[in-house]
Amino acid sequence: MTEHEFEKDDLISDLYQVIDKDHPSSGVDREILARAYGAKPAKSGSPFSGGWKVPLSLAAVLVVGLAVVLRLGVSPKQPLPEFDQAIPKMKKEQILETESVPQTALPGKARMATPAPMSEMEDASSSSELREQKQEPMVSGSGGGFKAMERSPARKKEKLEDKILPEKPAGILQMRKESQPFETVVEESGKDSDKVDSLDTGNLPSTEEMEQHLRNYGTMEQFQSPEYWKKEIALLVLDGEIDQANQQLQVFMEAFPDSDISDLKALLEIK
Amino acid sequence: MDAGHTDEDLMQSYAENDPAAFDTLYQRHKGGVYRYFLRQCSNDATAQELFQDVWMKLILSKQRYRPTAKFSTWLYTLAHHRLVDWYRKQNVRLSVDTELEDPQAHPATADWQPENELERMRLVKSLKEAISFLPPEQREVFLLHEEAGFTVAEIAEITDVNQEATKSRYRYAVQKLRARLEAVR
Repeated sequence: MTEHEFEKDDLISDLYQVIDKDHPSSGVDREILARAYGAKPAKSGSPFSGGWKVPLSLAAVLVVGLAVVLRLGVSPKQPLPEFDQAIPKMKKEQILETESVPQTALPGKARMATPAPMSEMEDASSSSELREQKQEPMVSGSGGGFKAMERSPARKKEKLEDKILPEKPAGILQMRKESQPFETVVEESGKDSDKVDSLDTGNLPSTEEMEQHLRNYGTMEQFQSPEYWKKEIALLVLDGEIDQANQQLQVFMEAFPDSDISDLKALLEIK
Repeated sequence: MDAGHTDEDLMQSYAENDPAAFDTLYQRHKGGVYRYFLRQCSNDATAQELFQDVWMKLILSKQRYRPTAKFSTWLYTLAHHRLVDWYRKQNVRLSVDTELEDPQAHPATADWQPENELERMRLVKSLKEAISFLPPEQREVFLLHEEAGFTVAEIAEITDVNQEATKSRYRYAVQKLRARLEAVR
């Protein structure tokens, strides 16, 4: 069957071919051709619409999930010691400073071992007043805490050596050197650091005690001031501990040879 | 793309990711398809919408095209289906093939011709209006034959009716158009 089987009307066909040859608009042409060439249609709006919605959502979930897994993976499996967890980060730095000079944590009669801040020393009207203030125990406890740190000449000498030789390694746990059970544990922990977790911390100063001590006695920088050291020697002279004062003065002169000690010498001559 | 390629070759190339082949195909057929819709719905905006839908559907279904089928037949089949959908949404009742009106009631004057160019232009305008008054099925067959040059068999395939019905529709369409032109003569 061919098209000639249609009963054609030549006049109608001729007239129809004269009718305007309408065409689609150029906008429709561009839209269709753009789609054919693989471009997005113009009416597509947000990049999060259409086929991108699901892949973007899955990518976001994947990123969040990986972040959570990685964070869980790097977290320590063993909890930190209770002491470290309790102390805020800033306070911990201050405590680390005192670890190198453990004698500063020992309140009591030995001023060299338990110095007060410079401002406190200067404000004191007399040496006796200062002594009374410093002789008050910071913490009252039964057989433990700071009260257990009894002062002795040997102890003071040891503290002085620590002060002159700050590079001498001294851990915070050595404050409790006089406590036998604790000392034993320290020695053991030196052999096996994992055993530190099993330390009997019953005799250790509490976090609050350490923070209070730092507030009262300042930092390492204050302690190492030559002026402060000279005042400590002067207090020894006033206490009548002339030998100790002379010994300290000798060490002081070795440490600070250019420092003026005429006042201290005059004071020693008076005594 | 060379204009000497057949539609089927071009469509095959486009199916194999050659967008230039589509460009050639589009330039060849865009006018006929657009006028097919424009004469059917007599509304430029609607014609453009339907026209765009058909080409978009062709783009999306390019992988389903088989070279054994004639491209233009496939293209106008898509257009026919889109038009039928539009008719349904417009609640246009598609008449059945049984034409109550006797085509012999409007006998065509075979030897009649316009006397001058002015009369010719007036007849062209009348023909355009007369086409819009044809029943949709007759109008579609007339347009598919006059606009795209399809045979009876091809139109029967596109519109999914038998060939006799297709011939009958065309015959009724031509007779009505002729009668309307003679009326304005």
